Amino acid sequence: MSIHAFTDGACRGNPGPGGWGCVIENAGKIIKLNGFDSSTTNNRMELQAAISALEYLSNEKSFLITTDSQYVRLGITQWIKNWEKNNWRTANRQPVKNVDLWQKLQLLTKDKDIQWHWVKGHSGHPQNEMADQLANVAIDEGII
Amino acid sequence: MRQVFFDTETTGIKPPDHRVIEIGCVEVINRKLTGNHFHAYINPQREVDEGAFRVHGLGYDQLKDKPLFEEVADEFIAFVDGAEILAHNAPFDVGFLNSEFKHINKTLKLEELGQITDTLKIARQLRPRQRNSLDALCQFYGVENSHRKLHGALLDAELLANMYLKMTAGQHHLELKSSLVNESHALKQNLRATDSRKSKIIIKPSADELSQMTEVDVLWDI
Repeated sequence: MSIHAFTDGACRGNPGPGGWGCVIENAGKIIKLNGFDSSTTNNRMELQAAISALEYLSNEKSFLITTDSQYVRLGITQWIKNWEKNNWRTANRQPVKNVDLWQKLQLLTKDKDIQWHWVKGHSGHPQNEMADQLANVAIDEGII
Repeated sequence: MRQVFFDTETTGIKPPDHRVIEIGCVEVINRKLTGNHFHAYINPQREVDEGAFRVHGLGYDQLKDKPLFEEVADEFIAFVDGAEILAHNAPFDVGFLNSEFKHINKTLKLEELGQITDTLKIARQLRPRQRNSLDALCQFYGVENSHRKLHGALLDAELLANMYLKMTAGQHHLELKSSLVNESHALKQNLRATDSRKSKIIIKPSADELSQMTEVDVLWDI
């Protein structure tokens, strides 16, 4: 049975307090993870959610990750190769934003067989909704 | 609640032959402009139509050394991803951007980055059969726009955000507003019924005439 991680990030403000959430399905078990950052952005939380899933699955070789962020999916599957070649600058010669997290993500995906899927956020997808809820709970608890 | 108001300028009216030459986006969080923005001029790899040039004043000579769409796409996507995406006459701008995405990545659509809202549609609901161009709405809602001699994507996105915030002030839920509109419509119907004894002749516009009235908002005027 394949391992499937669902990730989501949320942020109130840009920058502002943010949270991330992961739902990982592995051999009939469901693992939930979340975390908080007092000053961050939505994109950073989307990246952190994926990083946290990958860290949890560090001993696994092959799995699926479903995100609702096209920024994360396109970044890791397409853009990152060119960014690295361009010395972490975009095609428009601007410094890549969130480069710290992109480099972390790149390291964690090395030599792995990962399928990146995308699902529309807030569209009623159960595991995506659960990940979104985990991210928001993290913010609520973090703010208190 | 994160919203991105955006506008595009183009080489003409119809994609995919015509291309995007400028994208402007401003960010609003909890009904306040944050000052974060995205702005890019783009090399369209073709000439600009005369009609389009008259609208924005940008010719190919000024654009040929700008980046290609694929070179700014990652920054644009990073900016709008996950927000509510608003534009005036959104189908026009969304159609153009999706055409640009098709050039570089067949699967991505702007609708996948966030929910699209057409502010023209909202304006038409609030002010039926009136001019609802961005200029007309700025004047109606008291948003200073006298400096708008030519269309510019970033300036227009900012005007749109300011206008939208006034247009929707005090009614954060549009559903509430539309129920009020329905109520007042029902009220008018009642009045009309009680008025009928005066036997006024009411000539209602035909469907054709109605559609002509909204055609005042032709593309370039929006």
